Formats: sequence, C-alpha cells, structure tokens
Amino acid sequence: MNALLRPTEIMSPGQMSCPGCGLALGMRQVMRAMGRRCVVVVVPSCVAVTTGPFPNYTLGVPAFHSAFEIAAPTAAGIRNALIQQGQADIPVLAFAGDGGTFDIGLQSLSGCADRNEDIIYVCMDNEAYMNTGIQVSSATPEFTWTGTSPSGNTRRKKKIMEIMAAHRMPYAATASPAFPEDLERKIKKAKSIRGTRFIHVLAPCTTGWKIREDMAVKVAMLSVETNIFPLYEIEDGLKYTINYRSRRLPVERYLEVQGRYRHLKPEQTVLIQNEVDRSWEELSARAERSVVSDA
Amino acid sequence: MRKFITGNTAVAEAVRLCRPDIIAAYPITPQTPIYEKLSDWEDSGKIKGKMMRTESEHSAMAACLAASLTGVRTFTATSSQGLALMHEMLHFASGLRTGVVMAAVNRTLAAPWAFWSDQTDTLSQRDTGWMQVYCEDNQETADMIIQAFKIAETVLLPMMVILEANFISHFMEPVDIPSQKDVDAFLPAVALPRRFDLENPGYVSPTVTQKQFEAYRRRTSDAMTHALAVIADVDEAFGKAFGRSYGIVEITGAEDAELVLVTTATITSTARVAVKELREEGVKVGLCKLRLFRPFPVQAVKEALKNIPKIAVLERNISQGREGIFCSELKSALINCTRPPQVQGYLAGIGGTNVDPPLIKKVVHHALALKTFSDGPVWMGGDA
Amino acid sequence: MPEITCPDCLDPEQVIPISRESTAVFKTGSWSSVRPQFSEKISPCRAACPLGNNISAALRAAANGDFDAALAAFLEETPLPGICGRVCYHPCQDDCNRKETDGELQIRALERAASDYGNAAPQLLTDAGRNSPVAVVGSGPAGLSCAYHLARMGHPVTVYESAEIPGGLLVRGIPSFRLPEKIVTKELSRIWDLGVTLKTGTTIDPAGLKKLLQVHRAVFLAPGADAHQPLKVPGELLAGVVPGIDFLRSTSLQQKAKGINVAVVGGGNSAMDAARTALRAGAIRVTVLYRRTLNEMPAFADEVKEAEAEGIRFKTLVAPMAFLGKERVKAVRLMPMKMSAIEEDGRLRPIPSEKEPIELACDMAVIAAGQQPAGLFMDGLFRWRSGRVEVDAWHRTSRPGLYAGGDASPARASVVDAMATGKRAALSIHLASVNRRVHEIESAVTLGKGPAFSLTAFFHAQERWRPDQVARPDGITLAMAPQHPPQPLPHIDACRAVQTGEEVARGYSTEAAIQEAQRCLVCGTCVGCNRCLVFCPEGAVIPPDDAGGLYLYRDEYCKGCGLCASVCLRGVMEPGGVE
Repeated sequence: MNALLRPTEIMSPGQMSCPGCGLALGMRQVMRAMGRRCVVVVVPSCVAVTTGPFPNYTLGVPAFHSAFEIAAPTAAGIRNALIQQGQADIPVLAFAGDGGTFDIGLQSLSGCADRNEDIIYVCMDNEAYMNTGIQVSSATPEFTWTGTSPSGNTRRKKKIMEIMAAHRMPYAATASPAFPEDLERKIKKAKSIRGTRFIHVLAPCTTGWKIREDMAVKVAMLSVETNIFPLYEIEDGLKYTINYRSRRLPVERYLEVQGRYRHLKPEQTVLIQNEVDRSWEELSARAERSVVSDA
Repeated sequence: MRKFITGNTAVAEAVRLCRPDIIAAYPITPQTPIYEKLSDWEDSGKIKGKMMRTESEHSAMAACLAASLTGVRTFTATSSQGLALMHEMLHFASGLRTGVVMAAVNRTLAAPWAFWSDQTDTLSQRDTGWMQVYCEDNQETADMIIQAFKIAETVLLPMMVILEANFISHFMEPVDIPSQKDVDAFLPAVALPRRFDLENPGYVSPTVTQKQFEAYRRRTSDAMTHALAVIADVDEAFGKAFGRSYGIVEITGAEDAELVLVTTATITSTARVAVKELREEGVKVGLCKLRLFRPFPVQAVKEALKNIPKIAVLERNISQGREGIFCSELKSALINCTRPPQVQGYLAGIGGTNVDPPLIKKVVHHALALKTFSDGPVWMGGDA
Repeated sequence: MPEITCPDCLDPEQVIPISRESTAVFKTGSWSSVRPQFSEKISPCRAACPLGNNISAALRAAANGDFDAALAAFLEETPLPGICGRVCYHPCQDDCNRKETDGELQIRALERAASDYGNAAPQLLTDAGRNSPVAVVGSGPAGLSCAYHLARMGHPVTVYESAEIPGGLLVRGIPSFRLPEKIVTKELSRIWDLGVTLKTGTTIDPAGLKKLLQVHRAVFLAPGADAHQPLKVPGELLAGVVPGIDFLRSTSLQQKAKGINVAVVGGGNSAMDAARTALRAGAIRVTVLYRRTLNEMPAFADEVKEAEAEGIRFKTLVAPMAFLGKERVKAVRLMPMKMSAIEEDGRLRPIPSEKEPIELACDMAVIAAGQQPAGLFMDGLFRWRSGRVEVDAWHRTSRPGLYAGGDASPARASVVDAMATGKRAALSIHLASVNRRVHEIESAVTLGKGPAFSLTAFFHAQERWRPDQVARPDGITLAMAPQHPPQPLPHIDACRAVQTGEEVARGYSTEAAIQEAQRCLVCGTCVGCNRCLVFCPEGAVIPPDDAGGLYLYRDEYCKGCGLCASVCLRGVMEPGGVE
C-alpha cells in the first residue's frame, strides 16, 4: 500500500477557515511543499481569512497582506528587491483567490506574466467571491448558483489556463488538494524554474458549494475524475502534458453532491457534459501535438 | 556639473545619483522622458537597480511599496490619471510606513481631457499620508529628489516631489548636478527596516481592531509632525553640502507689506518678477512661497504672516464646492492668530493657462482694493 | 540629523502591524464538539467468512511478499487454507469492497498462494485445556477443524475415522482435479503435528460413543452425511443407476462410464463433481438433469461454469419420473417442470408442467440429488430434527458432553461451513472445560453480525478494535483508491483438463499473487498510509510514534469536519461522534 510521506507542517493550526475547507487544505499542502524558506503574499480572499487576525498568523514564513488586485506585482516587487539585496535564493509566492485572479487581478497578473517576473502565483479557486459571502465571479461555471446568480450563472468559467498559456511563461499547471502528491511535485518543480509560474488549484468550498463538511476532498477528486478539472501542465505556453488519465466519470457524479447545482435541469447537465467532453478533446489534442513536436 | 536641461532630465539625473534599487513606472505624458531616461540608464548599467516596466501605475506603486517594505530604495514617477489610478496604493504606501519617493508631474485631471499644468492631481492626494513639496524650478526639483530620499527613509513616510507639467517638466534651465561622490556622502546606503526576515518571520499588514487602527493612525500623525523638524534639518544639511537650501517657507518684503501674495510652484518665479515691478511702482507688497504642503508648516506660516493685514493666495487648482486648496489650508493655519489676516483666494492658470506678470499685478491691485474679502475664490483666468 | 525624540512613531516594530505570533493560541477545536473516531474494525470479507479468517492481515502480508506471515494469519482461524484455497465458495469475495469499483480481490486464490508458498506453524493459544481430553468422531472438515482448535487450546484430542484414510469428503467426495490428494495429506499433517491422535479404520457405534463420553471431557460428533438419498422413483434399482457418493468414491464404477452416455441427476456440487468425473472417465456425453433453473442450482457458480466449459450439458426444469430399461438402464423419463409461486425452504417450488414427459437416452444414471447422515445413531442417544442432529447455537446436542457439527448437523453443506461448526464447537467445549459461559465472551469474539467469530480475539484482545463493526467505506471514498483489475486466474483449458484429469486451477505465481494482494485495501485496519494526516486542513491529526499505533486528533484544533474519515480507504477513521 502506498503510504503518503509524513509532511512537515509549515502552517500552524488554529486557523480561521470553515471546518472542512478545501482551500485551507490546499494552502496547507502548498506550504508543505514550499518549506520555510520563502516569502508569501496574500490578498483579500479566503486565504487572508484563513491566515488570521493581528497579532497571530498561520503561515509561519515572512508574509504580506496586500490589496485585492495586486498579488502579482506585489510579489514581483518583493522578489526583485530580494535579488537586489543579494537574497536571490528566497522564492516569493503569491496566493490569490479566483476573484483576485480572474477578475480584478487579471490585469496585474497579466503584466507580471508578460514581464516574466520571477514569482510563483497560486490561484486558490473556489469559483466565487466567498470571502464576502457567495458572489459570482468569472471563475463561476455556467449554471452554477451563487448569491448573485440565483437562477444559475449565465456566463461560462473563464479559461484561465489558456489565458496564462498565451503569455508563454515558463510554467503553468492545474493542481487539486485531492491529489497531494501531484500538487507537491508541481510546487517543487515550480520552485526550480525561473520566471512566472502559475498554479491553478480548484478548492471546493463547503459553504458556497453547499456540500457537507467532510466532502471537500471527494468533490475535488470527482472534479478531476469527471474531467471537469483535469490535471495538466503547460510549459512555455506550448507544451501540454496531461498528468492523470481520469476515469471519465459522468459529470452527474460531481454535480449531484453539491447543493449549488440542485436546481439543474437535465438539459443543462447534458450541456455541461458536452462542454467537458469538448474541452477534454481539445486538451488531449494539444497534449498529443506537444509530444509530436517534442520528437 | 552645470547642465542646461529640462526638469524631467533633472529628476532623472537626481534619481540616478541616489542609487535606486527598484524603479517601477508606467508612461504618461508629461512624465515619459523621466521614465525613458531611467530605462536607458538601467539598460546600459548606469543604474544598477532594477526597472519594472509595469502595466499600470497602480501596479507600479504596488511593486514599489512592496519593494520598500523589503528594505530597498524605490522610486516612481507619474502624473494626472496615473496618480489618480494609484490612489488606493498611495494610502497603502503611507499606511505601511514605506520610504517610496515619487516625482509627480502636475497635469490636468480629466475630464475634460487636457495635458497642461494644473495642481489638482497632487492636491487631491492630500489626505493619503504622503509628504508633499511643490517645486519652483528645475534646480529645486532636482535638489528635492535627493532630499526626499533622506527625509522619507528617516521619517518612514513616502514623499512626493512635485513639478509642473510643461513649465518645469519640459522647459530647459541651467541645473547644477552634484557629483556621485557628494551625493553618496549626503545620502548613504539605504537602511530601511527589512520586513521580510526569515530569521524573524512576521505577517505584515493583517487586519487590526478599531483601537489598534486608531493607534497606528496616531503614530503616523506624530511622524508627520516630527517630519517638519526632519525636513528642516535635511534642508540645512543639504545647504551645507551643496550650497543650496530652501527653508520651510520663504517670505520676502514682509516688513512693511500691506499685502503679501502667497504663491506656489512656478507661479512663484513669475510672481518674483511681478512683485519686483510692483515695489518699483511703490506698492507695498510682499511675496510668500509655500513649498511644503504636507506636513503643512503651520508654525512657519503663522510666524511669517501673522502680522500681515491682507493676504492674497494665487493658485492653479480648485477643490470644487469650496475654493483653491492652498487658500483653505492657509486660512485654517492662521485662524488661531490673535488678529488673523484677511485672506482672499485667487484662481489662475487652471488647465495650464498662462500666468504672466501683468496678471499677477492685477491680482495684487485687486486685493489691495478690496473692501470686503469674499469667502470664495476670485477667478482671474489667463491666456492660453 | 535629528535624534529620534519620539521612539514610537519611528520605531519600525511599532509603526505598522506585523503579526508574529502563531495562530496556535486559537483553540479552534472549541468550534465543534464533533470528533472523529479512530476505530479498527473487521473487513467485510472477514465478516462473510464462516471461519472469520483474518483475510486483510493475510493479504497485507502477501502484498509485501511475506507468504509466511500470510499463512500464519490464516492459521489463526483455519487449519486448512490450502484446501479452502481450492474449493471454498468464497463468500468473502462476494462482499469485497472493491467489487463495485475494479473487481473483487481473488481471495481464494491468495489463500491458496499463502499455503503453497508460505511456511508457518500454528500458534498455540493456551494450555488451559490440558486436563480435558476430547474425542472427535469423523475426520472430515468439521472434525479436523474441531481437533485443530482444541489442540491449540491445550486439549489432548483423539480423532476416530471409520475409513482407512482421514479427510472424509475431502478425499472421498471432492475429485482430485479440484483437490489433489497430496494437498489434503500436506494440509492435514499440520493437525497431526500438533499432537492430535488419529485412529483410522475405527467405526464408533452407539456403545462406543457412550464409552467415549465417559472417558473424555467432551465428544464432537461429525460423521458427515454420506448416506445416499434415493429419488424413490421406478427403475432406481436397475443396473447402471448408481448413487453419486458411490460413483465418486469408486474408480471401478467411474471406469464404467467410458464411452457411454451418462445422465447425472442433481444440481449441487456432488452432481457437478460426478458429471465432470464421468467426462474424465471417458463418457461421450454427460447431461446434468435439474428440476429448477440454472440460476437456482445450489452448486457453486465457479463449478457450474467450469462444467459448462468442459462440455457438460444441462437440462433444467426436468424431474426424473422413472428409469427405463430391462435389467440395465437405457433411458430416463423426465417430467418437464415449471416454477410455482409457492415457496419451499425459501425458494420457489417446482411443480409438474402441462407438457408431455420426455425421454433421455442414457447408459448410466448417477443420482446426486441429496445426502443424509447414516442412520447409525438414530436410536435415541440424542435428539434429531428433520434428519439432522439437533444442536443449539454452540453445537451442544441434547446429551450433556456431546457436541455435533458438519453435514450431520443443520449446517450449509460445504467445507468451510463444516469447518466453522468444528471451530465453534471447539470453543464451546473449551469454555465448558474452564467453567466459562459462552455468552460472557460472545460479543468480544463475534465478527460482524456473526456467526463467524475470531478465536484470536478471545485470546489476544486488541485496543480500539470493534469486531462487530464492518468497514464499509462509501463508493466515492473507494473511488479514490488506485484502480487495477484483478490478476487473471490461471487454469488449464477445459480440453486438456478433461483429457488429463489433472488439477484444473493452477494457482498464482508468487509475482501475480503479490500483485493481486497489493490490490487489497486492508479494510478496517490502519496501515499507516497517513491520508488522514495529509488531508486534514487544520494539521490536527497526530500520527503514531511507532508503526501500528493509533492516529489521534488534537482536541484543541479539530473542528470535527470529518475529512480524515472521508479519505480513509480502510474505513478506520469514522466521522463525528460527539465527545
């Protein structure tokens, strides 16, 4: 039986996240892989809530809580300053939510990626503005209930990985707290690369997704196994590698355990399935082309 | 070394001499020559620091303040729309007690669109907790850049060195550029606190309680008060090192003046000519130059003006719904005098219209003739 | 430069908020009173096994290539893993938690592998029984199992067997292509090595039984049910109509099947064995006749499949009305049946249909439609009911000191069920001999809902182990385990099997056995995988200092979310009880 290695905890316990929070779990896994030798930037999001109020914080490493939309240039400013000080061996990692990445932070993130700033940017995506309640963001998938899309979201989830790939930065990857070894490998790989590195973590939210407190890991697993959130890497914006061949479970398995999809009509489920299948075909094709061009 | 250069170039030269570690900026007319010159020098290695060519001014300030917190010397330059876009980050930079120095080129704030000199852009950042000094000419601008790094890094508050579009930014004047050796002696290596220390990790800028917030605001307020002394001392030291000092407030011809004209920035240099002519014509008028705006030098202003019967304030800005901002600030500084002078506000040059000596003389005559001082400003207009 | 006259406003540590303390001071555990339970339990395979075999422990050892330890795990509860590993109907596999995901573990084949490749001696449990000698009548699976466990508990045991060789149906019923004789000999030697005395060629009659009861603390009666049950139809006495039991025992009878058509009446394992034996003897056509449908045949599904693969024909919904012929049978007249709505023993009853009877030509008819105990003891020594010895839940008969089990008692007619009766009787006898009552210990040893129990649990209690609880992680949790289909079971092809008569099932190679065993999740036992630890968002799970220890939670920080339980593939970590 494969045993998972006992991790060295960087984050202290006593954090302010909701019980069973998938985002807090993801943060904890990211920090285990980063280790103590780093500086972390946090912006308003559930990451900041989890981190804790003055004078206590959970992160355990030097950190900075900046404004909502500027996680990326903040991290870049620190990183460039550290290099000027001769401390180039200290990586800087920025945590942001989906709001701070897909919406209000997209411009500043794009600017950093374009300049290939030397930071690791981790988007903890719980698919809505959860820190302030449950409000729709451009990371909210189609048909999803939120407090500001009560009949179901009419817009589609932004393809953030495609957007990041278009910048041709060295490394972008998706990761899931249900696959901790894969997540750890990706963070460690990111640490070894110079330039802008982007990690997209889908983090189930018990409150906003209306799932039971013990369901976050299962839901995250189902998101991967249904291909709703495949695990893959993009290097230099062109080379696609699929890290895990899922079982291609039907999307119902993922949707039926979440209260935020309780209102779904059968035809909407079909549309979701079709879109998932189409995206997967596209991703597979890109991965195949990547192998060919490698040869 | 003496050079015949624009104000923008003077800023760039001064910044270079201060050995900045991080420069983050975004182009905007009329700041762009500063940005380009610094970029050029960074590229060629004349500036050893790193230039971040950010995608917006908001990001530029975010990067600067983060770098300043890391403990390095940081600089940015902007104007008008860019400064307005930075607004949120300006509060952050002062709230976090950074030592960022900025060159702010006064330019009209849309709307409507226009590109000439106007002080509203920097004045509307009055309450952000930044120190502000308004420069009269290219030399003062260059000198204040050097002084600003020293002041900001001592007081732990960011500082804006303000120069007008066109009149300073693009006009050429003779400027004394000091030697690197002399600047190094005056401004040693940066010693800002390093907030991200692996040996002593901490989380900068968490959420605080009401009482805690109030306490931090109180400390910043105390620091602003303390800054007055620091600014005066730095100015004096600068004078000793480079032969030029500017004082907190400059006042001339006040001994027998019936009226003192208060001006700022480039209007001051034109006013010097007007006042000289008026004196020659027998008018008992004095001239007071306001340069330091934040912290506002209440005592120095009171000292200079408390016995003057009439004051006319001439400025290139308006706070809609009231009057020119320097005028309001001046009035509030003088309100507790035993016999506060009468103050009349005058607006001219808004939008970058020309303020020439005849116009200034008109202001003085108008003020002298006043029976009743009005609470609102008098619009003088100007030629394009 | 000015001196710092107001330190507060310029002291770097004072001027901006910097949190330097850890959040560990926040006892977020106080948010909830719900806490996970770390509680080892039994695996569903173990609960389904009539012997209560510690399957998960055995498979875990096999997964590490340690067949010795795997065998030792089996020997805790059974003396004959090499036999069950070949002939058991594997109820364990039917309840395997992996059944719905990537297919059940091939436990039977792994039990066989443990026995084939491992070396281990049975563990003695106590010598408390040393002053209580026990006699066992019958050396079939029930008697052997009883003798084995009694010997482990210190009792001197003597086994009485009327035949010349021990094993009962193991050697005189189950054909060698399913269970080679040398395997039986090897397996049984384990029992003799414990010091159990065997007396073959010795038949115990009622007088002999009374004598045994006088000199022994207890007697376990397990003579089996190998008396033929006739159909009671005309022509049953014709030459060529033979009882199934006799056919399976006699090679000379079997040889008579060469070159002829054989009909086999019955739907149980004996019928399958008889049919396949006839085929191997050279019968040109073998037809099994059964009065119900194929699905309802009591024979083990594997046996039916193998019989079909070998070319045996099946005629269902037919009942023999008469055997036709002058001195020798030449055909059987069959009544076509249909299923009625009336139940008999919990199954729908077949009744004659309206169709015309049909005739099937045959030169030999083997009757394997039921067996019963020999009438030897039906003289009032103890009570009988419905043709079987009447026993209570712990195998006591109506006569003090006399216990009964196996096919002679009301038990399912299979090797493992017979062995289970022997084991249960052994504990029953032992407890009586040390003046303990069974109901005192029942809950500590019963596995799941019973009746299987663990002898080891009685002698070696485990902390935080709940044998009444079966580990059933839900479907989504199980979906998190890596998916691998079962290793294919090696066997010789049907053609060769019939030709040579050699053992059909080949058994896994060590590599294949290890691969298959590695699929076992080890349900109910913590294997130290650390998933609970890795998936706790609070960092509130404390791993054990040493291997095999308990995973605990930090009460100050556990918010009771239950994520640890949701990811536990073994079902050991359970969500919420209120502390």
